[in-house]
Parts: sequence; C-alpha cells; structure tokens
Amino acid sequence: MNLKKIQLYLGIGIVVFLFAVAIFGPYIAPYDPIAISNATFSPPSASHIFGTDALGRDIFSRVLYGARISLLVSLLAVFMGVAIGTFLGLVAGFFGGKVDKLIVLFMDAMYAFPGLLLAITFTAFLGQGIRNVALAIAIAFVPTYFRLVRNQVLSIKREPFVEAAKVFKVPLWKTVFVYVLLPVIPTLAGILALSIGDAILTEAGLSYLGLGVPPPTPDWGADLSAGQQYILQDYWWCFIFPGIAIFLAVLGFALIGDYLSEEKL
Amino acid sequence: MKGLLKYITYRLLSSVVMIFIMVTLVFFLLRVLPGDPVQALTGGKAPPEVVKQLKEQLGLNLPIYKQYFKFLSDVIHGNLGTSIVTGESVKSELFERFPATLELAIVSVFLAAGWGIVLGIESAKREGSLFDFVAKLIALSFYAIPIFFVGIVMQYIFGVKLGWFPISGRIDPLNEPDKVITGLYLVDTLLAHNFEGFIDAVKHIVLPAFSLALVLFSVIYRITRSNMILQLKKEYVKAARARGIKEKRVVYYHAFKNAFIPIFTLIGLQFASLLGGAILTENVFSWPGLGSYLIERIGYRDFPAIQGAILFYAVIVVFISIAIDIICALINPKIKYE
Repeated sequence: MNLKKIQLYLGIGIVVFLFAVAIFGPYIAPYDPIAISNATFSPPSASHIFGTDALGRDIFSRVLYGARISLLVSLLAVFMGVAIGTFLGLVAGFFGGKVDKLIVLFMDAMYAFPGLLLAITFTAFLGQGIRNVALAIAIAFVPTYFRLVRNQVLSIKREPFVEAAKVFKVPLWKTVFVYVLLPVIPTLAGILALSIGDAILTEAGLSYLGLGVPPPTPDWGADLSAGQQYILQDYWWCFIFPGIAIFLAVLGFALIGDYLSEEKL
Repeated sequence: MKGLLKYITYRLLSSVVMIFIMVTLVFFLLRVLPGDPVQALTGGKAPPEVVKQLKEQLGLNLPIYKQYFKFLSDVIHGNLGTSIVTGESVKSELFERFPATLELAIVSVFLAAGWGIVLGIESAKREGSLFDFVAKLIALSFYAIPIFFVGIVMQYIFGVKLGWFPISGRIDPLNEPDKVITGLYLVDTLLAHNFEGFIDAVKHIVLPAFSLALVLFSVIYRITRSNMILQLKKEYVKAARARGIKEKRVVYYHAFKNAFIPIFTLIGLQFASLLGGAILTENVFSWPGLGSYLIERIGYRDFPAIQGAILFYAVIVVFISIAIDIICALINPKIKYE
C-alpha cells in the first residue's frame, strides 16, 4: 500500500472515530459531564480514567461530550460559510459590474484579516452560544468560498454551452447547478475538509479565550483553559486530555484535506 | 517600472477604501450588537444618574451617526481617542504594546523559516518517499495541535517540571530596561550592557517563540514543498540536469529561485499577521503585546481601544503586503502588474 493511501485511511479512521464518539459518547460516558462531586483533582484511575477537574467532574465524560460541541459548531460554521460564500460568489460572478466590484471590495477587506481575529470581533459582540459562535466562525470562511465560486463563474460564464443553455431556455438555477457548482465540487472537497479542521481550531481558540460556548457545557477549549490554571499544582490530566482531543480531531480532517488537495495537482 | 508604480498607487488607494470599510464595520458592529462599556465598567449595578453621566462623559449619549463622524475625523487626524478603561490615549497604548509583539514575531519567524524551507525542499526532492511522508506527517501534526495547547504543554514541561524557563511575562521586573530605546528588550538590554537582563529576556521569549515557531514551521514547510514539487517537474530542471550541473545546485539554486516568490510572500504575510498580535500565544504566556491588549479590552467593551487595535492591525497588514509586492517585483522583473 502506498504512503499516500495510508495518510487518507488514517485521516478517515480518525474522523469516523470522532463521529462515533460524538454520536455514541453519551452512551459510553460513565458520568454526567456537568455533575459536580467532592472528588476534585483526582488523578487518572480505574474509576476516572482521565481523572477529575477542579469541580470533581469526570474529564473522560467531558471529553466525550465535548466532541459533540466541537463537531456541531465546526460543521455548522463551514456549512454556513460555504452557503453565504457560494451565494455571494454566484451573485457577483453573474451580475458583474458595480455589484461585483462592491462585493469584491468587501470580501478583500475581510480576507486581509486572520480568521480568528474576525471570529473574535464577531463573537465578542454576538454573544456566546452554539449558533453565534458558529456564525462568527462562518463569517471568517466566507471570503475563501466567495473567491472560489466567483472565479469559477467568471471562467464558465462565456463558455458556449452556457450561451446554448440560455437559448434553449434552460432555467438559470439548472445552469448554475450543472455548470458552475458541480465542477467546483472536487476543488471544494479538499478545502472543505481543511476548513472543518480550521473551524475546530478556531472554535477551541475562542473557547480558550472565554468567548465560546458558555460553561458548564463540556467544551475542549474551555476545559483546556480551565486546566491551565492548575499547571503549577501539577494537575497535568486537567489540560492534557482535552488538548489531545482537539489535536486528533483537527489532524483527522487535515490528513484528508491535504490528501484531497494533492490528488488534484 | 512604470507599471509597478501605477500598481502601487492602485493598491494604496484600494487599501484606504478597504481599511475604511473595515473600520466602519467594526464601529457599527460594536454599537449595534449587545454589550455596553458603561455596563461592563460598572458591573450593571450603578444608579441610572451615574450611568447617564458616564455616557455623557464618554460621548456615548450622542446619536450614532454623530459618534461615527467624530470618530472618522479623529482617525483622519491620527487620533484614536482615549481608552474608556484607563483614560490613556489609545495610540500611545498601542505603541507601548507594539514592541513586545514585534520582538516575538521576529524571533519566531527567524526560528521557523530556515527549518521550514530546508525540510520543504528536501521533502520535495524525495516526493513520495518515507522521509517525505514522515516530514509531512510532522508538519500536519504541528498544524493540528492548537497553539495554546503547545504553549501550555511547554509551560508544564520546561517551566514547571524542569524549571528551565519562566512561564509568563517578558522580563523580570528587576531587569526591566531603565530607558526605552527600541522597545525590544533583547536589543535594549544589550545596548545598556545589561547582560543579566539580556539573558533574562531571552529566557522569557524562548517558550512563546518556540510555540509560534512550530505552527509557522508547518505552514512554511508545506508551501515550500508544494512549490518545489511544481518547479522540479519543469523542463528547465531537466535541462539543467542534462547539462551536468550538480544536483544540489539544480535544486537549491535553479529550482528554489523560481519557487522563492510564493514562499517569501507567505512568510511575509504570516509575519504581518503576527504583528497584529499572536492573540492566543500572547494570552497563554501573558505576553504584554497587542494580542493580549485586544482580548483584555474586549472584556471591558473598551470601544476606542478595540477600534484602534483593529485599525492598527489593518494598516500593518496592508503596508506589509504592498511591501512584499514591491520586493517581489524587484526580485523578478518578469512579474507584470495590471
């Protein structure tokens, strides 16, 4: 088996595992992830395999539940980002002229900013909660997908078959779907996988800064930040497990995304 | 050359428009969305008279469009207003914080660039080999580890367990340089012949700089690798090999020269984004730069400070990206600008 395939299967393996944890986590979790107990800071043991945190909550259960939040927010964010970006790209590409110039200007302005900075600006004022966090992250993705779709539209607009479709009165949505959206999908797939990884990182970063999903919801980034407060006391299990969870989740999508974008070359 | 000048003028003009849009967006976002500085300042417990008085003092009682025009005319005059929290001028606060961020950015780019480029080239040379696979896996892993997790693990291992490096801050308060010359502690301590201070500053910067360098390494490695793979497949490489030129020279000189521009552009843009403040890293290590400034002030809904920090960032990014374009045009006269 060649090494590239190993990379792909490794990525798929991790992502499937991640989804399994997100779906079945609540059935596997030995404790309620937000139940407080007296057993604070107990190190990993048979009864708490990842140990417990400052409030005596079971870290293993929190990590399992955390997969749900992380996946939910990042999938939602990428979905919204793609939807808004594609829509704007189609509008700008098809109408051209002043509308196009205006949208491009806005998108370029946003593109100059790193995703995290945009997401921070928006969440800081949208407020917390899954939907708001996802929207803030989505906004950061809009320019990327906008560019992709707009370029596609521009290169395809003048093709004779699009003219022909017009003559034969094929409805516009059909032309758009068949000639514009279908051909971008292979390019999109790689970027999509990488975006999901990016979204997971951004979500974790926001939660780390205290701008993500509010407590006591089990969240990897927030738990990591809470764990950091106790590094001087040597409670390493409080931050190591949520950190590894984020790392694995992002790695899974990055492996797939990297494979897909290289296959295209 | 004439094309380049025209291009730069165009870029400058469109940048001004872009910065204007960004600043306007942030201005209205801050005011339309929930969250109010007076409430953040008083904890929502102050009597209504006090709230009213505070709002008047801060100019928040004016209609939004009046606040906006005042803000714009201030910005045009180079005035970013005064912070709601500290009462200090935002501009001087930003300039005070900037050297810390600049120092961290320079050191981490310096740490990451060499490795990233060399490994990227070697990987491209051996595309598909075990070496390439392992190197790529390492790079992808560095990308996938959240930077704040790297930071915390480093703090734990090298700070708490081994005790080699301090885990937060820029320098021990005792070693703080007496007078600010460049604002870069690594330089100022040396200029003042304060070697103890210099060593202390080095020790403080090691962990945050290495954390950032790991992520930077991964991006630089990946762009070098993919561009070198592209170049090594080209005809001129075959021709150079056929002429009997040494392989090392073909790869490191002929091919690299042509792959250089995208790599350089990426490093430049990464550097620019670090200058806006490595937000997460600065927060992990309590590094007193622009990134921690922004997060601090968002907590207080300090409108002028947030607007100022974002404007500052936008200006840096725009100027660096124009500078990169100019340098690229000078290096490679074949690039045409429209």
